[in-house]
Amino acid sequence: MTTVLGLRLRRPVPALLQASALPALGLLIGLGIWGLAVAVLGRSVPILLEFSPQAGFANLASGLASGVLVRHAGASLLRVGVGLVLAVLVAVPLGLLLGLKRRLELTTSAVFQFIRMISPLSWMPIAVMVFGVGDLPVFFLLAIAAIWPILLSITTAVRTVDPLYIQVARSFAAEPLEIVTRIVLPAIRPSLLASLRVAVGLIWLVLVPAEMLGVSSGLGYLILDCRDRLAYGELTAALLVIGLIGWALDALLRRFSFSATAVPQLS
Amino acid sequence: MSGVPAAQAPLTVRPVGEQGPGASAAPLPLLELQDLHFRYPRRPSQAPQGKVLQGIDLALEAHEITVLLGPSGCGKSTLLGLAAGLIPRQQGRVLVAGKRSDAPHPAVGVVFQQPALLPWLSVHRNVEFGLTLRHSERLSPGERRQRVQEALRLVGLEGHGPSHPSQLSGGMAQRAALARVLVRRPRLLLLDEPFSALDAVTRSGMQQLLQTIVARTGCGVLIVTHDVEEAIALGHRIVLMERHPGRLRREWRGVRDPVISEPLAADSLAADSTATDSAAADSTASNPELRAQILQELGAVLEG
Ligand SMILES: Nc1ncnc2c1ncn2[C@@H]1O[C@H](COP(=O)(O)OP(=O)(O)OP(=O)(O)O)[C@@H](O)[C@H]1O
Ligand SMILES: [Mg+2]
Repeated sequence: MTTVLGLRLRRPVPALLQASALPALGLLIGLGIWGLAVAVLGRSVPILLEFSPQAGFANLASGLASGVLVRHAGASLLRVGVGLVLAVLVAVPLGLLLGLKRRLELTTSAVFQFIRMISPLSWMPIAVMVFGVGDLPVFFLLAIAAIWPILLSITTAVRTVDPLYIQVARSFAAEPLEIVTRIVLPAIRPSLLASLRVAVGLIWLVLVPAEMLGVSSGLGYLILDCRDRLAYGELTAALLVIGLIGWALDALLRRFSFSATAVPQLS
Repeated sequence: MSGVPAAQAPLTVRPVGEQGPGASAAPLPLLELQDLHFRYPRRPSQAPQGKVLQGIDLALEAHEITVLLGPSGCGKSTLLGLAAGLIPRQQGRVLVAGKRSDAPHPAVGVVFQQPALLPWLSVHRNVEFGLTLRHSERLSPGERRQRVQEALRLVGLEGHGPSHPSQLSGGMAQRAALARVLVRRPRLLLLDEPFSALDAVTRSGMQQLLQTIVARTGCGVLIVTHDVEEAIALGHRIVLMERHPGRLRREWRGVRDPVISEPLAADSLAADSTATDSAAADSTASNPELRAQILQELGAVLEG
């Protein structure tokens, strides 16, 4: 017997319906709390009323229609892509190396743990000094945020590859590089995909503040711009877009990594 | 490896190039271990270990199933690992077809106790694996598919190519592991307790399969076991090992005549395998004293 909204149902709600109905319900409740909070707080701070759900959704619609939101979201997504690719290019080979060479891992672990704990945003001044203003420092900040989860998870995953698989490849007279590409890489694929999901989440978090850094497009820039123009409805719409895209990216990667681990490559 | 079909593969390995005085030379063993000694490197915080292997001499021939029998921990897996080139050699020599070899040799196939099928590949792709490495012979995709299907048929897994390894039973998985090695047409199989994780019925099926494979392909086999019954059921030759240090203690040759007298045609598998099976049945039945001898020696090893 299942209970929905206090109603006792004779039959269990089908899993799929339940899986989509409950989150939708949660969203509705969240929306209610948002509206209520704005209404209550708006009494003492009237300007907060401009952050209401109604204002947000109205501006979302007009922003989408005019293409402004789409343009900024596109710019942001492009940066996510570049940041992720850079991070993967650095972290995957490095992670393989550290996972395979225990000595190297021991040598570098303290340094890496140290650097990892520095919030990516603290690199901002240095990034600007080195790369100037524009896209480059943003790419750098995104990449440095995303490198660590990928690096750490690959290093661990490589170390836990079943030695038997490597033994099999060695007994087939496979070369060391072949062992990496044919055994280690496929074996760590699930961990790699899971870490990509974490990395994208981090990139998305760092993106908005990073885009407040001398670029003239992107959702982070849009937030600053709206603030300067006192366009709080538009700002609310930008927040909605940020949340929506982040959510969609995560759902996409979750589906991707799930299907990649669940369905093996069949002949 | 050449593209010769399995049944016509050279039955013996002859001296290569500069060695050998010519046509009169005796065939070289497929693999030879000469005066092998081995000690595992000492780990810090550990008492120094004694020698695991001492003065191992062993020659493996085509068509012959050599069973390496010995108690747990006597160094059988170590010996096999050295023969396979998987464990770095310390002292002594490993010769493959008369040539020194310190790395895994493409003509030697190894099967371990666990099938170790790669879980991210289908059974077909697992079997294909050894044909797709950089040193593998160049085959067209069509030829490769045919070779894989041949190997799957040989081990009785026809039609299971598209399955996922996790869908196979233990015995089937071990068959697939065997097919993965056989597809490369090895001249020698090194098997480390390949059937010990299987139930008795499956195990005896696998033992028959192995005999069929030897009869059909003419490859040599070194199989490790600590099961006397398996040794008697399989071996043309049984070598008993003792431990601390690991040495070859006693050897029984001619336990059963290897079926090499008849030329093997590609399509006469059924006839060959029945010949092998009946030979196996005969020699086992007529060898109760062999079992007694082996058990007695094994008892002595366990006490000493
Ligand atoms: N990697 C290793 N490092 C150190 N010592 C080892 C290692 N592998 C095996 N040994 C030791 O070497 C000896 C021989 O081991 P080995 O695995 O060759 O025996 P085995 O005859 O195959 O035994 P089993 O029948 O249990 O498989 C044992 O005493 C074992 O403890
Ligand atoms: Mg062993």
